[in-house]
Formats: sequence, structure tokens, C-alpha cells
Amino acid sequence: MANRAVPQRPNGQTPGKICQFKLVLLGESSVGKSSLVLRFVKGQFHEYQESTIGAAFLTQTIHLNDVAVKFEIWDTAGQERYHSLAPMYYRGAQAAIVVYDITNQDTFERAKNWVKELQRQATPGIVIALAGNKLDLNTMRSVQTDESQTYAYENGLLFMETSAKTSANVTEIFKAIAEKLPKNETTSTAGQGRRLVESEGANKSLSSCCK
Amino acid sequence: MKAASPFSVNKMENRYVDNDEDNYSDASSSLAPNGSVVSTVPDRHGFLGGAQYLNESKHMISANKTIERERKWLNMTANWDKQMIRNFKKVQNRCRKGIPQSIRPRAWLYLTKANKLLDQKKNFYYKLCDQPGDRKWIEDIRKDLHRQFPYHEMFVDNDGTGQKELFNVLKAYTILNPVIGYCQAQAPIAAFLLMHMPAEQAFWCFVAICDDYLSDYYSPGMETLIRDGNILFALLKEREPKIYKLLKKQSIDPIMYMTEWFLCAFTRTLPWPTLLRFWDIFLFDGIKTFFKMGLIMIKISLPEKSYSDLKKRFPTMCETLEALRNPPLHMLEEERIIKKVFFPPLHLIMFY
Repeated sequence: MANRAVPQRPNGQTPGKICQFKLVLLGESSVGKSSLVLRFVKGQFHEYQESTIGAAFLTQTIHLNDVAVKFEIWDTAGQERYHSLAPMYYRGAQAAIVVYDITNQDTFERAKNWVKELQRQATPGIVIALAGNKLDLNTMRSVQTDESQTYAYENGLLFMETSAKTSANVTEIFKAIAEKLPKNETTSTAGQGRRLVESEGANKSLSSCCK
Repeated sequence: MKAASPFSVNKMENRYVDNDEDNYSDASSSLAPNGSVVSTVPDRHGFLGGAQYLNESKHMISANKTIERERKWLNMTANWDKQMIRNFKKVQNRCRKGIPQSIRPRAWLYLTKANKLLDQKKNFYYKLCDQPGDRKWIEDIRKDLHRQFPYHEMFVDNDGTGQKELFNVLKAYTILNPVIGYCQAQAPIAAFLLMHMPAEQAFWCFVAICDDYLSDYYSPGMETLIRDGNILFALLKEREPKIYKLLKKQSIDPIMYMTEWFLCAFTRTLPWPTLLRFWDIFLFDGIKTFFKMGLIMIKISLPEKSYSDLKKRFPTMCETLEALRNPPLHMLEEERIIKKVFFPPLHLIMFY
């Protein structure tokens, strides 16, 4: 992979800098978490996406100016039954996308609960984005954009309505997260989640996410 | 690339049945979104496409041998209880050799003792089907009906018989065992059983698996799964210390890769012919087969010559997890794996 063994310069300014972030997707079952990830990572959409058991793990890198942002994505299972496993996935995450289905009010309420849980228990400073998915089903909408927008504003969340099916706003939401994530800080607040890309004999005292 | 949904595949098949040759020649196969071929003719296990689809079976047992095995199995099932007491080892060996496809439904029914449940509670399944069930479970189940083996001919149709039977089996279970209710990982198991036997038999097999073989796996809290993840990790330490060291160093918890394997009894993981053979053995030997298969999965995903070699090939959690979550399927082919997996004994007595 291209991110390996990029030499660290004393001022931290390397050409083609790579930052690595852990991102978790949370939300009610069947709102389209896996579909969003599949669209973002592979550019595909499956009408009949198998339900996720436990969690799936994928990576994707996007480029912002001269910075490559690599996301380690944990796509979690939505059923309440797996709730006890969720902290394992959001622990140490620097970003989260909480997903709901715009045609289902219950899923929006559940999304709010996830936001509350993240704000209480996840890494302080975690960047949270709220995604109202299934925008292609706009005519069957039951959650109004204004309502979600206001909620997102009040809670300091990024917010977009997305469609994994048409790909509307999918790359955009990941990009917005990447822009908001700190890429030059020198102290790590994320603990284990902000993992350095190890390279043989590299400076072990590095605490930035970037190499 | 053409985004073919399983539904459109089915429509293509109908055209084939209608003998519309023009359409058939166009539609004999197309590409599924995952790049695999979607065929109009199911393979010998009923798949039209997806990861499970097999062009041809590489391993064929001769007709004579199959007939001989069928005869032996029919004799055994005619006298099952006696056989299990007197010829326990022989039955075990026959499971390991593979149960003939035609006998499998019957053999699985006997191995799980579902045949006894079926006799004791005649028609009870249909009574459960007639009850309305808890709304919460019904909603959860409905969301998942079209998401189980969507490329299998039985489940390809929304509201087709396969999906209706799947709904009934899962709903009936929530009424029978309201404490467990419905866990999403149960759906692939129920669907897998329905591919092999009529709904009532599949239901009692499913009950035996959920309540006996995998008891507490689907309970809220998932403590049993977490415990078994830790047992798998302890076994790895003993069997594959270098891989253990790598996983430990990269803070990769067993839950991150073994959840789907164990909760779905490998139905979503193994190539189909291997899966059937695996189940033949699992239903006889029980849960310890999961640990054996789990160890094999880890070993083939992270092949090693030395620890430094391992570290070089899997330098971070990303590479390691990607490898663990995409095991090389050719390494899991039936003949390659079955003997290797099941003959060295694994002593789980210290854990259970």
C-alpha cells in the first residue's frame, strides 16, 4: 500500500501526507449503512444487500488537496441485539456516521439515541455526521429535512441527506468528515484509535496521525 | 456493468420457461453487481449467482459409491437410537465421509433429534404459524426476508414461497422462545435449512440448533459469543503462537472476525460443498467443530513462515483484518479442507 514507509520530516510537512482515521457507522437495521459504505468504497449498489452480522470492515482513501485521508471503516450491524458489541467498534473512533432512513421516523429517533451515546461514551471530539439515507425515496419521506437539520445544528453534527442507490451525497459526506478531522495536531486525543502507520525504525514518539 | 437484481434474474428465467428463445440467448447469463455471473439455470445447489454459485462440481463421487452410502444411511436411520448407542463411532465416521445429498435432510433431522420434536409436537408448528406474534419481532424479520441468499432460486422472489416459509419459521420461533425472539444471525441458518427440507422439519431442526447446539448464542448481551471468541483466541495461542502474537499486538479482538462465522454457523462463509460437509460433521460433533474451522480460517487467511514474515505481510490492523475477512476460498475447497480439519482432535474439555 502506498501509505507505507513515507519518511517523516521534522516539520511534519511531507509531500503526499497520509492521515488515517477510524470511522464507525451506526444506525437502525436496514437504513442502508452497508449500502452507503459499498457505494463509497466500491461504487456499487446492491438492491438486495445481505444483512450485516456483527460488523464489516473496509478501507477507503480519499484525497484532499495534498493530503490522502485513509478511512478505516467499521460498518456495524443495526439490530438492537448487537448493541453490547457496539462500544468495541466506536471506541477510539475519530469519526462516526449515524444513519437513518428518511422514510421511517423511528429510525431517526434511534439515530438520536446513537448520537447521545457517542457524545457520552465515545472519544471526546469525535466528528459525528448524520446521514438521512434513501433520498431516492423522497416521495415517501416521513422525516423532514428541516427537522434533521435543526437537530444536527443544535448538536454540532454534520448533516446530509444521501442516497446509496443514486450515490447522491455519498462521497460528499465522507469528504465533509475528512475536512473536519484534524490533520496536523501534535497531541493525540484519540488514544488507541489514532493508530500510527508503523514503519520499521520509525520515530516511535510520533503522536500525530500523519506521516 | 448491468446491475441485475435477483428479481430480474427470475424474470429472465420465466422467459426461458416460456421458450422465448431470443430472450433466452440474450439472458442466459449476466453479471451481478459483485461481478459474479447470474445464470438462468441454477447450479446443483439452487444458486443462480452470487458468491455461492458453482459452475460445476469438481468433486463427484461415483454413482455406485453414492448408492452404497445411501443404503447404509437408510439402514442406520431405520434403527437410529440403537445405532447411536452401539455404533457411535461408525455413525461419526459416516458423517465425516459426507452424507449423500438425497439422505441429508433425513440424516440432519435424526442427528439434531428434530425428528423426536416433530413426533412429539405434531402440527404444533402450524399452530405457531397461525398466531400473530410480537410486532417488534415481525418488523425485524420482515426487514431481513429479502436479504438471505438473494441469489438462491428459493429466495429470489419477493413474497415467493421461500421468503414466506422463512418468515413463518422465524416468527414461529419467536413465539416458542420469546426470550431469544429474533436475532438477525438466525435468518441465514433458517434459510439454509429451508433449502434442504420442508418447512415443518426445517423449523424443528432450527429449534434444535438454536436451543441445543448454539444455546445462548443469540441472547441479548452476546456473552456466550464473546466467551467463545476468547476460547478461540486461547486455542490460537496454543496452536498458532505467531499469529496469536500478531493479532494481540494489533489489538484485534476475536469478535471483529469470528462473529459472523460462529453466529451464522459458517453458512455465509464457506464454499457451498464444503459447507454441506461441514454441517454433516457439526451436527454430529457439535460446537467444537466451530473452533476447528475457526482455527483453519485464521491459519489460511494469515499464512506464515515466520513472525517477521507475518509482520511484513500484515503490517497493520487494516491488512490483517482484510485478510481475515476475505479468506482465500480456493483453500476452503471440500477435499482440501475436510480431512485436514476434522481428524486432528481438539480438546475443549478445559473450556467447557
